[in-house]
Amino acid sequence: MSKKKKKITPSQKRYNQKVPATTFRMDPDTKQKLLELYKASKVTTWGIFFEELVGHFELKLISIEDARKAGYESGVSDARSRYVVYFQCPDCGQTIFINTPELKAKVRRLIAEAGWAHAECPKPNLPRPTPPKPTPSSINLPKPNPPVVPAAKPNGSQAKILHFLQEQPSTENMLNSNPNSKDTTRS
Amino acid sequence: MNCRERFEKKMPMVSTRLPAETRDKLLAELHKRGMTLKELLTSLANG
Repeated sequence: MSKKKKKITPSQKRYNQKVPATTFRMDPDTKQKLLELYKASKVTTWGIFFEELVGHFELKLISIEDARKAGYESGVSDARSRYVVYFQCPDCGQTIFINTPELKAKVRRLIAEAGWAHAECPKPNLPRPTPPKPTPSSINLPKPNPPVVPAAKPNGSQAKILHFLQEQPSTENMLNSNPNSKDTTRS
Repeated sequence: MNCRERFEKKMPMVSTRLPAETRDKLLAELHKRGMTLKELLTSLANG
């Protein structure tokens, strides 16, 4: 005996398309917890309970995004109030932020020209504290060079020896002048 | 108790009907986060 195929009416088909069934399996403990939540929520149907759960999930998502945006905006406004320097344009009255390197350089130059300084720093016209004088033991003077002694003129015998040495050919010249010696530089 | 009944007892079925738009939106969001509806409901049920 074959089973008759269950006929789905057009209204059922439309309903299934509009509100599809979502089915899954989970462990009994979690299902029990879900049922407890459902009972505690006091909503009329299981479907509405699920919708509320989903809504709660979406709310969570939105709140995270909102929290991130709010944190970013508060951080930016805090940083602006602490670090941003601005002035009003004398012509149109709009705010001009000093945020470009050129403007910052100009401001630095103007401040330097105006002579701004730390309040606790000594003024230029007041005598500056003099550094302590060094003691004689702490001074490292350069060592004096030894005196240059002029070369003594050779006496008679020394002059003779020098003259003899200048006349003698060097060993190199002696080798070159020898005809038997081989010339190693020739290729 | 046959195997089908044992399985039904071990992993009971949870079924609901949600509006198609809500379900699609939810499933898309879950897919983005690499979660399933079952995991979401489990985490919500566990607080």
